[in-house]
Amino acid sequence: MRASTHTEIYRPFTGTLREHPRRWVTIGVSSAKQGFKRKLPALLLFTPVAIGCVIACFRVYFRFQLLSGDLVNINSPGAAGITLMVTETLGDVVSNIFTYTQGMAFFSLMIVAWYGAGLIAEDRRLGANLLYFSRPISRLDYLLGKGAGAAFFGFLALTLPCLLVCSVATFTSPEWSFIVEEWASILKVILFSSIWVGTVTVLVLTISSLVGRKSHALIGIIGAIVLSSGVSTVLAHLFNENSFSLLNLFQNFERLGEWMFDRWNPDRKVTITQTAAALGGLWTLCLFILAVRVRKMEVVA
Amino acid sequence: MSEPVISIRNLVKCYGKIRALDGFDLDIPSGPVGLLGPNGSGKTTLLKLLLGLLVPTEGEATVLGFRPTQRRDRLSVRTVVGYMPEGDCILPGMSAIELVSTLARITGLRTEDAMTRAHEVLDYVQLDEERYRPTDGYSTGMKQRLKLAQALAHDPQLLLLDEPTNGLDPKGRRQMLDLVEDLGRTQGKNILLCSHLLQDVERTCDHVVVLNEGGVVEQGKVSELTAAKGALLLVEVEGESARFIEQLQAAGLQTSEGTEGGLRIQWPDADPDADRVFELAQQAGVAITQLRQQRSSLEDVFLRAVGVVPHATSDTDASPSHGDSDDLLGKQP
Amino acid sequence: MKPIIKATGLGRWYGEVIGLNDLNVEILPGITGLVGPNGAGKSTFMKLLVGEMRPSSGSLEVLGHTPFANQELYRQLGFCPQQDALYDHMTGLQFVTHCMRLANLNHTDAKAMATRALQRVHLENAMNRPVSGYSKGMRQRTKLAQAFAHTPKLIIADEPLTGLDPVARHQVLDLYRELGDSGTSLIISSHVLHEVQSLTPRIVLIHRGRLLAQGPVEDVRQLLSRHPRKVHLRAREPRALARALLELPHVHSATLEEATGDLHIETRDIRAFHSDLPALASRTRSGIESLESSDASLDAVFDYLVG
Repeated sequence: MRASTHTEIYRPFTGTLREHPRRWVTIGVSSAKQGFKRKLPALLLFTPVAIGCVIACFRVYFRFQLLSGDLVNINSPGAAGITLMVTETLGDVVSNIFTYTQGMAFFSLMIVAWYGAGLIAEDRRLGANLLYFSRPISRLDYLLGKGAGAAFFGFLALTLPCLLVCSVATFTSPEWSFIVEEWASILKVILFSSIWVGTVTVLVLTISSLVGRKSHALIGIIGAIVLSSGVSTVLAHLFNENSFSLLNLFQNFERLGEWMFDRWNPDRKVTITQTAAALGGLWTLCLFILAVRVRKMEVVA
Repeated sequence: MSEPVISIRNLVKCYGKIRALDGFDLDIPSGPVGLLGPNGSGKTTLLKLLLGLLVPTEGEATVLGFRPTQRRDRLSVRTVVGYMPEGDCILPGMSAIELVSTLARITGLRTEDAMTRAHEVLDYVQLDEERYRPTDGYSTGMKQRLKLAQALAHDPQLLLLDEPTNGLDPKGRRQMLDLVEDLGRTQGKNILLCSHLLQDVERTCDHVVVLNEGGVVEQGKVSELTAAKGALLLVEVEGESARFIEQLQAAGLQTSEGTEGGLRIQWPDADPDADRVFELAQQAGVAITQLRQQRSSLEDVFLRAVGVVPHATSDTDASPSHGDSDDLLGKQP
Repeated sequence: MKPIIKATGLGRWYGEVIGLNDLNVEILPGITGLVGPNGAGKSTFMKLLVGEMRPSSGSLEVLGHTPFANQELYRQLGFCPQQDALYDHMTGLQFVTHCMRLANLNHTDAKAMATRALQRVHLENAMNRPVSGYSKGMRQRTKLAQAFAHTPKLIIADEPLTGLDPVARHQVLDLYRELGDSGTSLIISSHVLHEVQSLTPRIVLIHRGRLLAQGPVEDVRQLLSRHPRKVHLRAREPRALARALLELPHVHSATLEEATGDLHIETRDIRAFHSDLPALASRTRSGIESLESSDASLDAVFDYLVG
């Protein structure tokens, strides 16, 4: 062995840089990682999600069990009626998922808000934009990364449980009938939950980019939701004019779900086009604000 | 001189009607360079332009072969430049090691490289066990060293350091200056250092550029700018200085009172002979505690360059005029 | 001379955290530099001096008064705090006037004083603009104007130079010298030691809440006999000079830096060294070009004491 010393205190980097680094993925992963650091809020926020998911799974499971006749002898005369009644009450898979998404709309919003509120606000407060934008990332990379970080938790709260329900349905349905007959519903479920998670993420990030602290962003988000829902309800009542309900994010979401899963309530006075326009308007506004704010963050850096 | 690290041609940046950079040409050589200027002189704007964060109104800049002023190179220039911002900045909720490795990965290092590299640069800036703790609880000194570490994460060829000693106590400042000096002088990094503490620049940089009102008002090697001018010896004496002065004058040397009690001896030719001074001191029976040729400090150079007459009682021995202080005192009640 | 500040056994705790511990110090009129590492207790001491806090133990006298909640003393004191304690919506002039009004002055006098003070810190052009648009240096100077506008006997300034550019530093240092020359006492804390030394030789060094040293820097250096004094020489013939110097009994080391030709000498007795040198130099004629002893500076003293 030849003697050598390695006393150099600064070592040059001899490796190479990636050809096509997906920089936004790095930002997204590190944002998501930060979320996992605190356990208590995660426990509190995800408990209702878990409960809702378990209930939906059980209902789907029972229904298929009943339908396949494993639980009750389907041939006994009284049982048939009861089975029919119970399965009716339990509802089919899609309606269970639909109910779940509606029930979890608020919780998933809160989850995205909790994990996403600080993403831009705290970066601004602590000067992280100075560090990020001295790296070769574009503003789009930054936004995508932050969005991915927040949306990941929305995905955990909404899309993932829906997929769980679907897989329970797949495995318990006789002869894989669920996946064979209703595969399109699975895609619709993914699309539908993604739209909600995406909308909520964009809204949360926008509010986060406008304030200087996570707590302020949280207050802002809750304020925006409560205010818009309240105002829309009051105005709709006062003027007996349903179009005010377009202001209400949750109702837009509900209508979108009804439309996508073919359960449109014919009493509704607002059309799906108007709903889509309202959501599209919200997206445009939010993305515009985000673009302006992130540009400012870059220039200040 | 070798190829300039940064070369700037007619760079103009306007904010509305204000011309933050007023169209100058500048070649910045390799090695450690100090970028000086009063607040609002355009230093920050220049740094941002070099990083591709701002688009210039006019003109071109080339940094190590990249053109940050053009859309194509705006981002890629940042793979060869490390930036240490002035203000406090951390990534929320992260420990030092996470912060450095995350930023290294964003720059394009592979995950394993990023981890190795993060540990290496944190070793270099001497953040030891603290690197695993969240950065929120760091002292100013630790935060500053962390900022330097992240700027080094991708081993850039050029470092832009904005006020690296800001807010540090004497010990922290010494540590930071040791690092900057080592990077520039031993590791051969190109450094552009902005600092309000001219002593720091004098210690760490070989070359300085002075900006004022959006233009370059002075540039050159520190050693040349502060070089001794004329044959003026500054001597500090202990004991019977009156006799000493008499003897000096008898020997045909002109003397005058320096600031802070020192004695200035004017030599008739360009090459002062200090041995003669010691000889006279011996005859006069006085002790000499300090002796050197008069040099201007970087502060004098700077103040002159930005149009302020240096004050005599700064820690150097510049001209003895007290004139400038009147400026501040004239309006005294 | 009567001390303006007298602290005896002064202590201050924040719960279990120690701010200042058993500090005994007497400060004479004139300019005094207050130095120490971060967290040493400098700011605590200053807050006690201006009566912002009550000491936990010991006693403190400032200009003959006990400072805590003492209206009489406030009129003779000016304080320039470290924090950015400005009202953003006011203009600089309004702010300083407001501060003067708090000292029970009528509006006309307050405004006149504020205007004069702001002119002295070169803010006459900016003083009618809101503070929110000020740069860091302008904010520092506004705080400073507020501290001396009412011509106090004693000004206490906590890190008054941070964030200032070289021009502003130069101006503010000059202003301090001027205030000092006109008989105002100043206590200034700073981390930039050579600036402190350019203002005043007299320092108070605090470390870990305790007094570590006080007095003129040169005298403090004399007390540190553990550390031999270092002298740097540059000469035409450094080797010959080194040989001759090593003959002197009090010189105990001579190092020649080959790259630069600098000669570093360590001596136990700096006075003897200085008085022996002229004879030696004229005998050897080794062409001394410079003679400096840098380790009597505040930087060096701080380094030796704090480490």
